[in-house]
Parts: sequence; C-alpha cells; structure tokens
Amino acid sequence: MALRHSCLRLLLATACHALRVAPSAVRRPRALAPLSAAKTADVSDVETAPPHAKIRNFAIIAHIDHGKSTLADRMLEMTGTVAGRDMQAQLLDSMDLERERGITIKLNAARMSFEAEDGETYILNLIDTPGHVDFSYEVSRSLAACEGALLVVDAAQGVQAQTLANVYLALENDLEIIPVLNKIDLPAAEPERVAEEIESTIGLDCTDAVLASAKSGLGIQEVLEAIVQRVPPPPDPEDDDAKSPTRALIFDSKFDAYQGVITYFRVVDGPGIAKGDRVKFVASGVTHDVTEIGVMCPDRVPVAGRRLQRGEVGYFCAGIKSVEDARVGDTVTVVKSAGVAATASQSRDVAALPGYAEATPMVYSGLFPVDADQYEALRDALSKLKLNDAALRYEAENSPAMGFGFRCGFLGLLHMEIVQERLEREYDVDLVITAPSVVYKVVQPGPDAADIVAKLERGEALAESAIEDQDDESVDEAARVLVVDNPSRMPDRDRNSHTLEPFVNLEVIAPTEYTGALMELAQERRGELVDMKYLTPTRTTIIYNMPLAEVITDFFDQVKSRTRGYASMEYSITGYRESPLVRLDVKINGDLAPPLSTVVHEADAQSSGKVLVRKLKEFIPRQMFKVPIQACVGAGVVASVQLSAMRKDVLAKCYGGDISRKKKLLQKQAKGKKRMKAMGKVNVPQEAFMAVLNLRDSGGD
Amino acid sequence: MRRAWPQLLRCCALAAALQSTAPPRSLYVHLPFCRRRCFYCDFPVVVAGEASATRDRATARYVDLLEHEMASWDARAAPLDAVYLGGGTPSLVEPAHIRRLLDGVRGAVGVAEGAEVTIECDPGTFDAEKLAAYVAAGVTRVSLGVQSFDDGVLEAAGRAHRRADALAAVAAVRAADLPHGWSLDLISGLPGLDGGLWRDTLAEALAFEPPHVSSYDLQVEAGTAFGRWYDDDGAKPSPARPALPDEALAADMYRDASRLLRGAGYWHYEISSYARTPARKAVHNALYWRPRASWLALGLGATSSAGGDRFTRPRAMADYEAWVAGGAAVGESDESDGADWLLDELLTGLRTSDGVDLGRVRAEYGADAEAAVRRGAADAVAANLATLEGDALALADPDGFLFSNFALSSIFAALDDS
Repeated sequence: MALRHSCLRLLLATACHALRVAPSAVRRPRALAPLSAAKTADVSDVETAPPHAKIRNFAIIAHIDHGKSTLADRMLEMTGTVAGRDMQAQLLDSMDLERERGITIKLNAARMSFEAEDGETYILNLIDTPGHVDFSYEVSRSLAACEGALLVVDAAQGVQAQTLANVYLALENDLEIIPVLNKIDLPAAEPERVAEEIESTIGLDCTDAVLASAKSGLGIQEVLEAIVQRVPPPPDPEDDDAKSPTRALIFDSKFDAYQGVITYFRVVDGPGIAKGDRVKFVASGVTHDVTEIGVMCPDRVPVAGRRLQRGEVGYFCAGIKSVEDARVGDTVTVVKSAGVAATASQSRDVAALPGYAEATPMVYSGLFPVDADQYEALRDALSKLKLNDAALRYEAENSPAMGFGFRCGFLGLLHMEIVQERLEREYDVDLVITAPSVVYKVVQPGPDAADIVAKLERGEALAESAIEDQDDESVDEAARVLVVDNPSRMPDRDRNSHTLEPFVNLEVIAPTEYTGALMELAQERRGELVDMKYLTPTRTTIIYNMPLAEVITDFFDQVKSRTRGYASMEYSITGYRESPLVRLDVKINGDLAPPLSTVVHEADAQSSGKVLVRKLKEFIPRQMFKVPIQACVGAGVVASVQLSAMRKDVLAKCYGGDISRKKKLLQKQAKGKKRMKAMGKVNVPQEAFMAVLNLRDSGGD
Repeated sequence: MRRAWPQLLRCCALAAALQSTAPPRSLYVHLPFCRRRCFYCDFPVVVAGEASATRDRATARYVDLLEHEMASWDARAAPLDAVYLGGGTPSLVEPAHIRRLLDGVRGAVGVAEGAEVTIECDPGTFDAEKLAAYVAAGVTRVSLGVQSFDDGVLEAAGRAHRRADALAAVAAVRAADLPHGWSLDLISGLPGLDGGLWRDTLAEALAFEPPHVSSYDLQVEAGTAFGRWYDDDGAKPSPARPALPDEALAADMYRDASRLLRGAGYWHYEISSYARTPARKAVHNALYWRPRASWLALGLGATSSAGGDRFTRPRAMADYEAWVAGGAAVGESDESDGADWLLDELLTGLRTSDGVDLGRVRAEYGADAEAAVRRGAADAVAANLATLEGDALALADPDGFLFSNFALSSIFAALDDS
C-alpha cells in the first residue's frame, strides 16, 4: 500500500541504538551514585520536596534519527536513574510499534537527579515532544510545561524542517534552547558547518553548543551541566500569591487497564496536588479523587507523604475511565484538599491555562472489516483505542458496496497509519481501507454566502442559533455550511454554492540543487510559492501554500524521490480557502462505486479522471466479461477505459506432486478475493481504493 | 489457545485416517534423465546429454538408489494395481534397468495380474525393439510425449524430437499392441501455434485412434526459459521465438480440443484427459483426483501419499542420495501444519467430470463445510460454469474447466469464512 510506505519512510530510522558501547571515560564515578551525594536534604528522595531552584524542566527537540532516544537513554544511565544492566534500547519508547520500527513518536517523561559540578543535586524532568507534524498540538503543550529545551541536531545532516518547526514553537514559549550537536564522532560530521546553519536559520547563538555522541557516551555530562546552568528554574513558590489556586497543565495522558487513565502534569501555580485531593479538570468539567500520585523514574514511583509542588512534574491516577476526560492541554485544579474543601476563591472560577484546544481530525478514511462478521470486533477495538486516544473519531458507516464499517477521523497520515496498524496487529481485525480524505466545507447558496465564506477563510466563528426560532433563521450561519468528510457525500457542483478546502503552510528544506525539482512538484500540486531562502550556500528552504488534500497523497514520497532522500518537510494547517472543487465519481461496469469517489480541482477533473481509470484498470482483476471503468463529473463521463475479459483461469496439470503447490496458489487467490469488495458484479481489491492517492500524470508510476 | 483445538481435531482425524487407510495399490517412479531441458519444463530433471554411455552409468547408480529406497517399504503392502514410470524421459533408460527396477518392485510388494504399468516415452528415444524389451520387462501401457506434429512448434518448445520421430514413435507404439493401450500427449497454446495448426494437430492425432489423449494447455512457469522469454509483454517475436498465442486464442484451443475429441467419441474425464472408452481411463493418474488416496513413490522429487498425507522427496540429486543413505524415512508431510483434506478433495475432485459428492463432504467434514462449498460454488453455477444436481457438484465442459480456478478460489474463500 503506497500510502503506508509514504508515512513510514517519513519516520524510518535505523535501529542502530541497540549497539551499546562501554561507559566512556567522560562519565564520572559520582554520577553513578547520586544517592550518596546528598548533603542537607536529599532531594533525590521522591518524598522530599525539592526547592524550586533545584528543578529543571526541559524537552528534547530532534529530527527523526538524530539521536533523541539514545541521548535520553544515556542521561538516564549517567544520572543513575536506570542502572546500566537494566537498560534496554530506547527505554522511553513505550509503544512496541515505535520500538520495532525505530521511530519515536514520543518518549515517556522521566525524572532524574543529578549532582552537578557545583556539588548540588538537581532534579531534571525530561518532558518529551512528539516528533511528528500530526501531533504538533501535543508538542506545544509539552513545551509549555518546560523552561528549556535541548535542540539535538545531527552534526552530519544538519537542521531539518521538522526541527525548525518545533524550535519556533519553543521560542514562542520563551524556552531557553541549548543546541546539542550529536553524532560528532561520525566521519561525515561537520559540527562547524551545522553550528553555522543553526545560527543562520534560527538565529541561535551556537558558541556554547554542546558537542556530543549519544551513541558512544561523549558529551553527556556536558549536556546535563548545561541543563543545570542554562535552563531557568521554575518560578519561586514564595513569589506566588498565596491565595492563588492550584493549576497544573496536563501534557500527556494514557489509559492503563489496571489504574485507569494516568495523567501526566506539571504544577504551574498554587500549592500543588497530593494523594487524596479532589481534582477538577477545567475543560472537561469532571471531578475525581486522586488515588495515587508520584513521579517517573522513569517507572512510576508513588509519592505518599507530600504535595507535588509548583514547578514539579509528576503523574496521578484518579479512577478516570477515558483519556477524553483528561485531555492534553487541560488544566487540573484542586477543589478539595485532603478532605478540606478549597476556599471559595480557590474553587470558583479557576481560569484555564492558555493554549487548550480540542484535537480536530484533519484526515478521514473509511475502515471496513474484510469479513462482515468482524464488524463487532472492529467496533470493540475502536472503542478500546479511543480510551487512550482522545483525537481519534469514528462513527458507523455502511454502504451497499463496503458493508458495515466506520468513518474515522485522524490528526494526520501517521496517526491514521498507527491506528490502522494497531487494529490489524493488536486486535487482529483485517481491514479494507479507503483512501484518506480531507474535510471540505460547502456554503450553500444565499445572499450572505460570500460573508460566510469570508468568515470561514478568516477562521472566525459563525453565528449559530441554538434555538429553533424562525426569526433567528437568518443568523444561523453554521447551518448553511455543509461539512464533508467523505468525498462521495460532496454535493453536485452548483454554480451558486461555494466549496472550501483546508490549506497548509508547507516548508521543505533540501540541498539547493533540488530546488527546481521541488518547485515543479509543488506547482503540480497547486502550490503557491510564499518564500524561498538560502539557509547556507548549499541548502535552501522553500515555503508554499498548498491544499492539504495535495499533501496527503504520495506527496512526501515524491519529495523524497525527487531529492534522493535529502529533503525534510513540515507543514501546518493555516485554514480554509475557497477552491473550485468537483466530485469525481467512478462507475465500474456501469455501477457507481461511491468508495472510489474523490474530490478534485475543477481544472484537473479530466486529467485526474484519466489517471484514475487507468490505475483502476491495473488493480481490478479481469472478470469473465468486459468491464468498462468510467470517471464522471455529475452526469458527464470525463474518462473511460475497458478491462478486457479474462479468457481462461485453469491449471492444466495436477498430479501427485502438484497438489500442495497448486492448492497454495488457489488459497492465495481465495485470500485476494476476500480482501475485495463487490462493486456491482465486479470485485475491487484493497489497492484500488488507494488508486486515488496520486492522480497526476507525472506521478512517477 | 485459539489454535489448540484445530490441532487436536487434526490429530484425531489423522489417527482415524491411519486406521481407515487401505494399503497403497499404486506406485509412481521418477526417472529424471533427459537429453535436454524443454523450454517449458519445471520438473526435477537431470540433463544427462546425448552420450549414452555416461547416461547409462548414471542410470545404473540411480536404479541402485531406487532399490535402496524400496528396501525401506512396509512389507505388508498389497500387490500393486498400477505402476507409473514418469520423468524426465524414462524411455532413455535401457530396458535392462527397467527390468531390474520392476523386478525389485515385484519382489518388494508384488504387482497384481493385469496391472497397468505405464512408461512415458519420448519420440526419438526408442524403437520397436526397445519397446518390446520394455513390454517383456512388464510394461503394459505407453504415454507418448508427441506434444506437436509441427517441426517449427517442436523446435520453438525446445523439444529434442521432430515430426518424423513422432510419426515413427506412434507407428511403433501402435504396432506393439499394448495390453492397456497408449496415450498420445499434446500441448496447446505453444509458441507458433494458431487455431488452424492446432486443429490440424488434433485431427492428425485422432487419425491414429489413440486409446487415450492428454491435451495440456501450456502453463508458462516462472523459472523456465518460457517464463523468462514470454513474461513481459514487450517481447518481440522472432523465428526462434515465435509469438505465444494470447489468452483468448489459447482458450479457444482448449475448447477446440474438447469439442473435436468429444466429437470423435472420447470421454473428457478430467480437465486435460480423454479416454476413447471408459476402460482406457488412466488407472494410476486417476488416483490423484480421488479423495484421500494412497500411493507409493520412488525417486528424485517424487511425491507419495498415505491417505492424503503427501510427502515429497528431495528434488536435487545430492539431497536425494543423502536422504536414501539416511534410511529413506518418509518424514513430515508436505503440509506440516496439517493437510487440509477438504481443499485437496475439492481441488482434485472438481478436475474430473464426476466432480465432487457433497454428501461425502457433509459426512466427512460436516454440514457447515458443505454449506460453505455450496455458497462458494453459487456464482459458478449461476454463470453456467458448474452444475449442481442434488449432491453432485461438477464443473461444466469446457468453460467450467477453463475457469476452474475461479470456481475453486470462490469455494476456498467461502470455506475460509465459515
């Protein structure tokens, strides 16, 4: 499946971390035994509240494969948080899927105690950021919980688009950024050039950049020292207005089958949270009693005898059933502390911390079980995944062609990929998946249609009338907008209605020699050039406005292939824009096949239709009769091909030795048949549903 | 845990099978030596060249191996009703070796009076005298690999013989007056054939009144010369490599064979097999298409079966020698995760004009399995590719046979769902 590969290639990293080397000379003996180094109060004891001045909360920003997981592992090892013998490669990668593919979506949080050169012991809290555009909202919340960030850049590869986007986010959050040039022991490493690149692209002073090799343990001590010296401590609790209520920011939450949802938080204001407190989630409005609270070392260690105070990072369990109730970015406040109700000023009107947003799915696709009787299993699996994934949306969908299934919404392609893979692997449900689609908006004709379009383009809220009042009808703008997440439901083109689609701001960084090829590609995909900059004489960044629909195709594959893999890419959704869009339908043997419908730019309808029918002809197996395959816009046929009839399908010889082999052949054929869905009299295989992913003639096939 | 039950059931089924299995009454012997490899061939063959002395030494050694393998047989086996000497090119083997081989079989398990003993013969490798010596050694039937009467077609297929050799061979076989008759083997769909040439081939074959005809639609297999030459559509025909008839033409050739041979009174009893009279149906080969059959096997790459549990011997000579030296133990079956006997029965049974008895399916595999087979066959029946009368399910001749994979894969898919 082409799509699957495109996402994976984006994230594939070599799993070379497994090679462990002997502890390097850099490591000092005292770092191995931090517990013995305590002086006045042992702040490394989790039951002792660390003074705010000894806390450092930091994130790691790194491009895929630039060594984030290995660096984190090394820090855990060097601070004695995890003994060397207990280390396993990528300790903080929690999903099997991640570890297996060598990709890291997000590391688990970890608290380390580190005795610095000044002889003091510090608590370092690592709060990781997910390394993928699908999860940029979570990145922003993780960064909001930190005062500083390590910017890890591969000293051979240099700055990548993904890194840039996250650094800008960190700068917006006023974080202290420490550049770390990793992999300096590689023969191809050019730390000076890369340092210059960081200075010219981000404007970050690299004089004090740390040179490191996480793999061989070089420079880890220096990284830890830099965190202590350069990352500011959290604000002093003494400065806090004593009356200010507790506010904690949720930067992650996970569902655990035994403990319910585990909420990961950082105390931002107020006296903090302790076991037995009754807490309220400001956005979801639910209240729960904290049954366990503690810190991550990196395994969860409960703290029973004290509050987790302002500036501290930890987790709590409170018998919460679904992560939807403890969403990332939500604010936790204490309404009743150890049996004592909070004061009136504390419990009432606690303002939410800024930046909370509900995850909005950007990409939708249809998931249908191969076997109709797996529908129940699919529904159960989705509901279980949903417990741990607040961003996942799904609703039942059925069609004569596909049977019963679900229309699912995802944050992006990787998110979609992960969910589909987990459904198939962890829940053993075989799926037929339709091509991903963006969410279109259609403004129905009317005198104020232009106003509504303008509001949608500006991202402004539409007037909404909750009351069914005839007088109010004119102000109910929301009702005039049709939201289309399934291309087959896109209404027929109407001259008086307006169609809008999501646009992205796309940034591609690549060696300068590929600029021409990339601009050509972007132009083909309806891109509008916004800016082009030389990062260094040999590397260029190109910024485009482009419809999201053009990006969630094989676009990244094309970027990679046209730059021989030297490009990195990043995009962010900028909003909706009006585009002249039409629904392109497919008829197979005269029967409409709604799951193959797609939405294209009016001007592309004919060329896209031609490519689509040609591709379908390759994917759909021949039948015993001729099968016309047509692409239509409304009633008009824009392209047509004919699948010739199959004339024979027989194994001429089958004697003793042939039976097993020929049976396998037929079993394979039978399996293929099962993965197909009947469109009228014709069976259409899984691959055909992905044919709409690239409808460009130049698409390299 | 999920997998434990089927395994247990399979064990019970296996035990039942062992109890019910009658001793094998048939034997396949593989004689792998060839002068050259034909362009379409993917069998285990040993190219032994044209020099008869070298070939003879190799053959003598090989028959020694076969005798060793026979020594491992269960002496309780009943006398055989059929022996099939296949290849390779068995007619390259000197009659003395064939005699030694058949004597060995007679000594080991016995060969019943009136048994069918077939040898595959290639034109150009034998004469009347050699044939008489085979008969004296116990051979009662010949399967003659004519393939085509056209020199151009024979050359393009990499065959070692020509039209003249074929005509001489047919004359010799007819004159031998073999007790179980003979089979004339043809291949349709070969490069260089067209509709007219193929119908001429059939007419010429019929003129010899062969008691049995095997007519195979060419299958271009991966790993063969044809597989390399004819796999991509861009291959340009040349005199040495004439065009491969397209699928539609090959299908028409298959239909022509069925129409012309049946028109001449032949019984089309299996996808590729025709008998002039019911008595001339091949005894040994027909066993392959019967449910849960047992047969013995000897030699390189040969497959034996014990009640449906098949075992294939090593396909490379060195491996085979080592296996014989190691005691020739019939090891784990080809499908070590358990044979799927119902699929075997459907796959083989539906090749025959008799088809499959759904009553047997119900009795042996249960009502659910029977229902799934009926469901899976429904499309083929609706398209007139199969007939279902009561419990008798059979593919239609010729179109059902031509699309047998379509019908079978639908049935397999339905069974997989049930």
